[in-house]
Amino acid sequence: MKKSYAKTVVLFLCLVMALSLVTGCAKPAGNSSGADTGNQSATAPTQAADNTEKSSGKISEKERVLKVMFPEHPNQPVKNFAPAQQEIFKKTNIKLDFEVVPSSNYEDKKKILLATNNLPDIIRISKSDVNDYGTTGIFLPLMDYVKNDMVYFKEKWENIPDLIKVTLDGELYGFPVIARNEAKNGVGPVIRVDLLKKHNLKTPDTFDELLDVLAKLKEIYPNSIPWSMRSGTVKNIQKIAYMLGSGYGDDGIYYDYDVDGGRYVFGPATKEFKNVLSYLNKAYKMGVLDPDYAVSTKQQWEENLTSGKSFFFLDNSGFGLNYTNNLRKTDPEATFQIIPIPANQDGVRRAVFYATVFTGEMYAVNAKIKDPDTVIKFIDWMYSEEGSNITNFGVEGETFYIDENGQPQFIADYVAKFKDAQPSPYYAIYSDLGITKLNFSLWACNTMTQFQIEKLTGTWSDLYDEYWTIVGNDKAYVEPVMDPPLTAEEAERVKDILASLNTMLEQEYDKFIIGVKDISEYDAVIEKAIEMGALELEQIYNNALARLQQ
Amino acid sequence: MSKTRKIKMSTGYKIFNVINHILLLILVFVTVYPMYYIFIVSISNGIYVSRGEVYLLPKGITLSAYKTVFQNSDIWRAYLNTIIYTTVGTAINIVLSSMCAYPLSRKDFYGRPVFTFIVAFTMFMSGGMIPLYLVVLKLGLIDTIWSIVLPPAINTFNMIIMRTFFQDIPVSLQESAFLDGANDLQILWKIILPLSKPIMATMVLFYAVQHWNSFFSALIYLNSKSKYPVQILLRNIVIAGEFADQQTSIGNVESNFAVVAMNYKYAVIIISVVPILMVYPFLQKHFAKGVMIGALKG
Repeated sequence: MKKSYAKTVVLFLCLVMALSLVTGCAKPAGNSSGADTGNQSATAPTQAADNTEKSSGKISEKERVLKVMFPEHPNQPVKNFAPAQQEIFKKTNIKLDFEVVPSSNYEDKKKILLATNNLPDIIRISKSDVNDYGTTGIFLPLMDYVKNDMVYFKEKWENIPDLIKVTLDGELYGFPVIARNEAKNGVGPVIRVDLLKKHNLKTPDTFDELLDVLAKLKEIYPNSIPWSMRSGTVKNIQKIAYMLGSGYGDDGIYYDYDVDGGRYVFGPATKEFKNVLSYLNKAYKMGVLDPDYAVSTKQQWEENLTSGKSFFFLDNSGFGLNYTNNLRKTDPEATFQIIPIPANQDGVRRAVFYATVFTGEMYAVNAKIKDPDTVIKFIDWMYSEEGSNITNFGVEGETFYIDENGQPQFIADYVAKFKDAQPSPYYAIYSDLGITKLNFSLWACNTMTQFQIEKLTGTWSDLYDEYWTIVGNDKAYVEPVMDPPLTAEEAERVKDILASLNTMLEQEYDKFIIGVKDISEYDAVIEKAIEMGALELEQIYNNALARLQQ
Repeated sequence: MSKTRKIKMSTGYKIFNVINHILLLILVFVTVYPMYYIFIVSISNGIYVSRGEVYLLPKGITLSAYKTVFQNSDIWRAYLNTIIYTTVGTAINIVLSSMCAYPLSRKDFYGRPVFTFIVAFTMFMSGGMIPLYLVVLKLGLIDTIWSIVLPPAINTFNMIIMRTFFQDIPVSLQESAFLDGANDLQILWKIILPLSKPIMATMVLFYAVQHWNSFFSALIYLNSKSKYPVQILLRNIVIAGEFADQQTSIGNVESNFAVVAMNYKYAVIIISVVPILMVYPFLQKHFAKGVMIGALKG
């Protein structure tokens, strides 16, 4: 009895000790983090605009470190304080400290930091984060700075009216990454032109001719699968629907230039969408379309194309050049080349470019940041010619020079060092210098730098020129339309409607393509879709767009 | 001797044996082939891989995929980090787990059911990611090795296996040690642990594999690239390979070189799996025995 009493006392004492240890530990840590936030928030935007006109002539009077977080792509490992960042430091006195997160899990990490309000100074976000977190006050509101303090960015802002769509209730929460001199391409039809020539087939000019040509190839090569697809039915409908007079966007809702002078339409709930399904059905019945199209993976797709089993695909047309290179190892004549967009059943040619000017990436500034004026000045400078040259071409005189047209050009001697680098010379150069879109650049290059480097290293070929000429001359392509910002309630409603609507619809598509159901039965599906809110979706988007245009 | 004792096998038994062997061989094939396939793809030429011609033997053998992976200078440092995290983490795990398991294994431990309940409770309920992150943040562990090795210091399930094993050691051993004047720590150190080698080996393996494969805690708690373990980098390579979908993909990784994404990925898988795989044979003997003892008599 006595013994167990003593034990209880000992146990209690142990608990007290353990608890005091824990609280004791927690205190200093709590303090230090408190001091941390105190430091960061002691930054009431002092109107120091004039004070920053300082003697050093640099953007920041004193040496200053800015932590920037963005995803790292495995092809382009990010080094801290690479030559481009050293050059930035020389010019602006701002030292960029990169916190890179593997791109495969960037979303996870970002979400945790956003949810715990534990942001670095500058963080890469996407347009949807603005909708989700903009009103929580963790990002610095930027509109006033854009109007009053910024020069270079303001110019871009005014020249690209579409950028207003990244705002939320008229406020800007992140600086969009704007593409510089980006070559445009998109989803397009790519066919084995060498086979067309060999068998005296005409380059298809309409979508119906396309099926005929592929059917003839199927006759000549009975074991082939003329048209391969990847990644499932919906992804492929997304790619082909617009060309066939309907559209799909990402979730069914898309902007159609040709309806009522341009408005949002929910594609699968329109009569035009029947053309898409019946066209695919026809291809399926003719034996032209891969019978496994609905479940085929990218790997199988690639296998079919590079082994010569398939002759046509409708996807990112840039892939054609890659597969040509692979095919030529065994068949030197083989060539995948893009063809101009064929006319659809209504005689119309239409296609959409990939988003090039703004691809959805933005950099937000931590609301708790010290001396935001200097930071904004710095960011503005990043949009200048000088800033962009450094963040995309490196160090003037060492890695690039300015040509007679005032455009930066890589220096051949520098590029030559990377001739055999893996995974490719341009990625190796980007990584070495710390430049371009996959690094921290706000007016960012992608194709412009890539083309220059490929021309210098000799990996460029005539096929590439031909490709870009065909795409460039094709009048069928239109610019993609960025979705307007939705209010929180609208976004919620859209999510709700789409979830049930797409679950219903996605079960239907294959039935019509394979031919289990006749296309005339699709009217019932349209009716059901409208019942489930398809028109309400259109209305939400069109209202949001109208609101913006006011 | 053995000859005279040999029982003649009946035909039925023979047939059973043959079928059994065939089935087992199929089973072996099914389990081994994926590993083998990954290996041969990783050393084959990318052209043949992308055309789907590699399935039984490697074709156009090349090590370029491995070269590409190791050209990334971060890999070596990340490897070192992983080894440090694994050894330090496992050491902490073993020490703390056994120190937690031993008292709980003693029937005369005051308040044992309460503590057992409190500990076991964590197996079913956890605070969730964000609270955990906040705790680690407030303790000032973010971006240090401790954020990787301390939060998973005790795996409750492993600890309970260990406790069950300790319970099976006869109490009389401990009593006699007591009579000889040993205290609790001495008993743990001199009596219990020497008798628990199989379970220790098992736990080392369990914990080490867990540390070796873990990437998520490193992803959220670490900010500096120089502290990343190898799994983060490798995972990034494997998952982010499908990159060109939405962009101008001309001259992508796949075009100019004999390395296609798949070679690259599979080389990465081999690189990340082989070191920990090599530990197994050395611990395997203890491993099977340890788990069984813990589980069967629990």
